[in-house]
Amino acid sequence: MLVSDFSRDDLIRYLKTTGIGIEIGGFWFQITSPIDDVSDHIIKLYPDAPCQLRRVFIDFPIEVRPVSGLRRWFKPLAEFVFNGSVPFTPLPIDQSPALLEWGINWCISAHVQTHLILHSAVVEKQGNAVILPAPSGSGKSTLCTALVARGWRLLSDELTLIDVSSGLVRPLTKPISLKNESISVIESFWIGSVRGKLCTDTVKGCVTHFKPPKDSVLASHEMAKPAMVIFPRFVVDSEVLIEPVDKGSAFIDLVDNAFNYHVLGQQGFHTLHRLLNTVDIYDFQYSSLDAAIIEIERRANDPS
Amino acid sequence: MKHYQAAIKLDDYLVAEFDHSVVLHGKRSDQVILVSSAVFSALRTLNNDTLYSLDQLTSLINLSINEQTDLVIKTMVNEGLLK
Repeated sequence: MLVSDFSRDDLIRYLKTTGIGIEIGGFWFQITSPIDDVSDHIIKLYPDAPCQLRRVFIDFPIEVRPVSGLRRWFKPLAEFVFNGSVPFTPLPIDQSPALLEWGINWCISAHVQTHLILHSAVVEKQGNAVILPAPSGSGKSTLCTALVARGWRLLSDELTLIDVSSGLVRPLTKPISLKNESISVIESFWIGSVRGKLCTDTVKGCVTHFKPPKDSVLASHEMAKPAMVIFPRFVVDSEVLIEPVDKGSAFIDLVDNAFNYHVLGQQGFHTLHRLLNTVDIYDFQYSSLDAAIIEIERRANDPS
Repeated sequence: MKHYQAAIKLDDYLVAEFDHSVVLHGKRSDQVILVSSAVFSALRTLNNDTLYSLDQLTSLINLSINEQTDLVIKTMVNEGLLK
């Protein structure tokens, strides 16, 4: 059953009472929330996600709820609850959709140890996964979204999960987070895209989420073979510049970029070593999304 | 006269060799070190418990690599790989 199989009224009722099990990247989240913005977010951006009402095994029971107390009358806040505890500082209630998405990412990055987790977007086409690791503000999510808008499969805009046993990338297909200027750039670039509510004045500025393509969500059990690692950097008015990176230096960059390299210890080392032996690695500077996509597709089709 | 000794034992590290560089990962410490292929090659020529004079070191490393030996030794000292 998919989220879109429920009527709007039923879904809102379940979210407000028993909660509803939603599968995201093979993990089951039991989501409960009495907040309308959260219901709207799920209905609008998760229509193709598998869901179950009374799922027995749940990986992550989560709730986004209003903070109780006097404060709720003059500056209402929302809190993210995982397994009965509140891991983050509450946020203004109108940022609830962003809080839900950040909370889901935190659940994965803080608890999943079967995969090496990189802070990185990842997309796939014709069996070749391209990993885009970069710090916030580098244009990673914008480039990822642009590739998805031009037919690449979205695996994740934020967390690349590399299976320590197989070395393959596990999809974590969920709404794509964009912020500030990137939002209007993508709205112009991706005609027909669907986005959620704008959450303003967050710690990251103005944030919203774009619905992932249905094909990407339906293929979220298909692992992908890594083919390229690209460190993207948006530079205003820049030509597309691409140059190979020394793999040892890239190894160190990816250690710094990973959420759990040191938790995995030797498994983390072997997973990264295998990754770097199988991919081409580039530093990539761009300003035009169209030009960037042409270059990435050229490299993906002919790595030499 | 100043003598030098290898500051790490390669047996304590997992090794990932690439074209121009090598990553070492401490088996117990989880410490991650990036060295050039030249430095790694030099490290491999040293016995762990042996003290070397600068001349001995230069001669040993010279036998195994083509790069500037002085620079390799300086790098190894700066990066704490020689003590």
